[in-house]
Amino acid sequence: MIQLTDQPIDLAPLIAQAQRPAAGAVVVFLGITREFTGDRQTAELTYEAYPEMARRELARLEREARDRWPLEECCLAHRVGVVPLSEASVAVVVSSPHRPDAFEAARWLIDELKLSAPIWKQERWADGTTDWVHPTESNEAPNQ
Amino acid sequence: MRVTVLLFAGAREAAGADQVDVQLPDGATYAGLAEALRHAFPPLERLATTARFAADAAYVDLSEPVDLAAEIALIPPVSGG
Repeated sequence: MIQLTDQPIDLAPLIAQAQRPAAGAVVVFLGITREFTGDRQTAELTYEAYPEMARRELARLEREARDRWPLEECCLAHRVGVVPLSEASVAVVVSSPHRPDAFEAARWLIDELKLSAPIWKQERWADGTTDWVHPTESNEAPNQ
Repeated sequence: MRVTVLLFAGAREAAGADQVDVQLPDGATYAGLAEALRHAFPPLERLATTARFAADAAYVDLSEPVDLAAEIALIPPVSGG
């Protein structure tokens, strides 16, 4: 199940959906807005997506994860728009009969999402300036 | 041939538009499109060099010919999560 939403991510229904009789483990990953990147202070982040493509990429990741691991449920949720400090910008919720598969799948899903989903964040720093984050190999994103 | 390219995030900000039109020779590839964007829109120089392209919301290889029937987008390095 995938979600691209401009509302706060509502985790409880995602966890409830993952709690299936055949599952013995639910793993939840939340990416949240961090205040400090080195010495720089973030006021808030704004996320922008290419919505049709982001949904398509998230759906592809869900399909691939279900092919690789025996998952009972696989939820990927990403927020767009302004995300205040400490709130979740992304959630990965997976369940499987045994915990190693759920842990591995969740780790793979968040790593792949960060590589391929056409979603971008803009830092609004405490001093009022803004920067779009476009990481390259030689210039790692400050807020990865 | 003329192609419209959707822009997002830093590319949209750099160009000051959410889409731009560029002129391309017939049969041009996405690598050629990147080159044309760099020339036509100098503020896109850095991102057009590191970006990928999508056609109808799926990533394409730079070596493929530009699909004029598709919705083309410049996908600068992503930073979701």
